Amino acid sequence: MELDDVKFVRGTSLTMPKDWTFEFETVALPHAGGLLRYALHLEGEKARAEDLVQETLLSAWRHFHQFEQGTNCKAWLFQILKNLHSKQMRRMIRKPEVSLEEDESRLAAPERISANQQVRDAFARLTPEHQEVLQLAAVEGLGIREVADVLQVPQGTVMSRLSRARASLRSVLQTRAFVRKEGL
Amino acid sequence: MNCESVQDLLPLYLAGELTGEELAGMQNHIDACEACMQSISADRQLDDVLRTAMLEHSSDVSGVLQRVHTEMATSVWKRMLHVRSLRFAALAAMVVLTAVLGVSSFRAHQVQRTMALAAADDHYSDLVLLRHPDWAYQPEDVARFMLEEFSQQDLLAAITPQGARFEKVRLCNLGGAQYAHFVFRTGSTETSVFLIPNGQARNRNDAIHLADAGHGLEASGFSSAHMTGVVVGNKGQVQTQEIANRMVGMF
Repeated sequence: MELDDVKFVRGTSLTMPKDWTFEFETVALPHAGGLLRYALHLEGEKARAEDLVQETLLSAWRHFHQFEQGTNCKAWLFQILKNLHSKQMRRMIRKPEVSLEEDESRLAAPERISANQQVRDAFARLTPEHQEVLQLAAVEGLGIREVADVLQVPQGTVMSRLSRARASLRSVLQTRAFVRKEGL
Repeated sequence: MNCESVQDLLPLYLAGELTGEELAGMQNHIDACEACMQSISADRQLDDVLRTAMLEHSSDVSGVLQRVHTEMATSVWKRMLHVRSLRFAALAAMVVLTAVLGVSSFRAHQVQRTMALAAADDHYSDLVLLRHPDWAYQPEDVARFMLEEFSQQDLLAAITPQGARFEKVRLCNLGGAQYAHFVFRTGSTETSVFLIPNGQARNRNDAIHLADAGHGLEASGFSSAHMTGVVVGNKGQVQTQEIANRMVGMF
């Protein structure tokens, strides 16, 4: 009896835990670009945003065995990123910095501003709350419940915030010729 | 359902999350109400315009991916070295040796592998989930797209796989780099070709073939003197490697 137990224990020690590398590379890493876009919104500076994405992906990698296969991995990753960012913010409250890219866009000559740049400028004028909800829902394609999970707010709040954010974006854009051209 | 309740449910409708009676009620109202139909159409277009603008401005994520791959590989070695068995010792030694000899090429390979997986994911989003409506289909739109993005003449005809016909093209973003995503059709089978002119590519990649790129797809990446790209198609149905090899010879 004791010998069987010893054998069992030794047998267990010889077994590698499941290697999730392939699954992780297939379902999680392709979302790195979207995570970086969201991290840039939260951090406002590229180096810090990259660190946050790296920390998010490594945290997800360490806990990937807990991820429920078949559910939305992108939403799961965005939740991790938001949680890590919130933890950082609790540790140190700092004033968001204005990125160099934003400065450059503000200084660009009007004739050089493309339609897409105008949209990004209009987006940058929205409140951080409106930017965040639009980025998650409209740009990254997360569902309402998934956005609610990331932001830790009720679904009804996401819906009303999203409606107001779209209205605000349209209102900012309506001051520009771009809107008349696109018919928004 | 009235206009007010349609506005309340609009975010759910646009996210494709309305079901059952609510969806039917919404649909009936939209069919009869011109104002609500226009409002929905405008919101949808606003989302598309915003998505396109934001994706165009995405940052290159390859540096982060390299660091993540390195950390992941390190954690795998640590795990292997913790296993108290001789049968893994030789393997662990091989892995360490490989790492010493070629860490940088390993990282580059892993990043490229991730790009190929991202391309497969984009193919799945575009063609199975139909997430993106911003395709160029019409000949004049396609001609304008080709003129703006590529300098080579007759590129479209040259990259069309044998026996396939061109269907549509759009710009997409894989890991912070902007690629043109071409779709070709042979019967009911779709083949995606993602191309980025080397002048815009931040990293040159070697050839790679992923027999399983997720979602039932296979992917082959290639890079030649003038072009970097990925070919994606259904596993076993599309000879992605063959198409990629042909592209290398072409550019």
